[in-house]
Amino acid sequence: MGKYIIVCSEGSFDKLQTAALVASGAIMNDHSVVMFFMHDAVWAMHKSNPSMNLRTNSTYPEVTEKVEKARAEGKLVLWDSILEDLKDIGELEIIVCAQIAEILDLSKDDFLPLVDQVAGVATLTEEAADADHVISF
Amino acid sequence: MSIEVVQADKVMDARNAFCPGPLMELIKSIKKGEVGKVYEVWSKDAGSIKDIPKWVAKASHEMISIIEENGYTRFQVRKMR
Repeated sequence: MGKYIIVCSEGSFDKLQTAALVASGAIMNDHSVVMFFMHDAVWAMHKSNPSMNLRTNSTYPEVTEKVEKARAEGKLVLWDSILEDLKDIGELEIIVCAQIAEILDLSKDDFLPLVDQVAGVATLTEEAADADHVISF
Repeated sequence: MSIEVVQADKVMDARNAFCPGPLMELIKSIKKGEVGKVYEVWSKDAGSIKDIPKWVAKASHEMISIIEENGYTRFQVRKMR
């Protein structure tokens, strides 16, 4: 069993969805995952934001259209729901960057319940020091 | 592959979900389930054909059957540990 660090700094739907999918692959294969949310991704973790945040950075309108259709038909499990499920089936820790949280005037209670802690980059680098893989989005 | 078809103890219909929905439904049920019970997930997701047997083997459970139906696949898995 290995350990993955996934750093998310972008808040668009496509990046968050991709990060959640990668986390799901790791957890389903019995690896542990620590996700560290920075910058725009911190705002995406705000209680009021998750599934409403469907803005994408896709270059192709067809991709956005088809993803939106799949979502509307209920075929696409959205990133925040994926992360909730992963907490049930494996070892997933979610950390929100303290600096951005402070800039945005947000505390732990302002974030989704799946957030485990608000912490600084020293926590991230400590976690990464003994990780097998570090991936950023 | 379709060797043996058994009566499942629990069936999860995940035909309306894309990857990783079907596999996650299976894992959630197996983690909460009892050793020896059979769990069956239905999937239309093309990735399931590779992902589900691979996970079952890695997790040391038993892949009992993969049954092709009209437009979807049934995966029967016995929880072994």
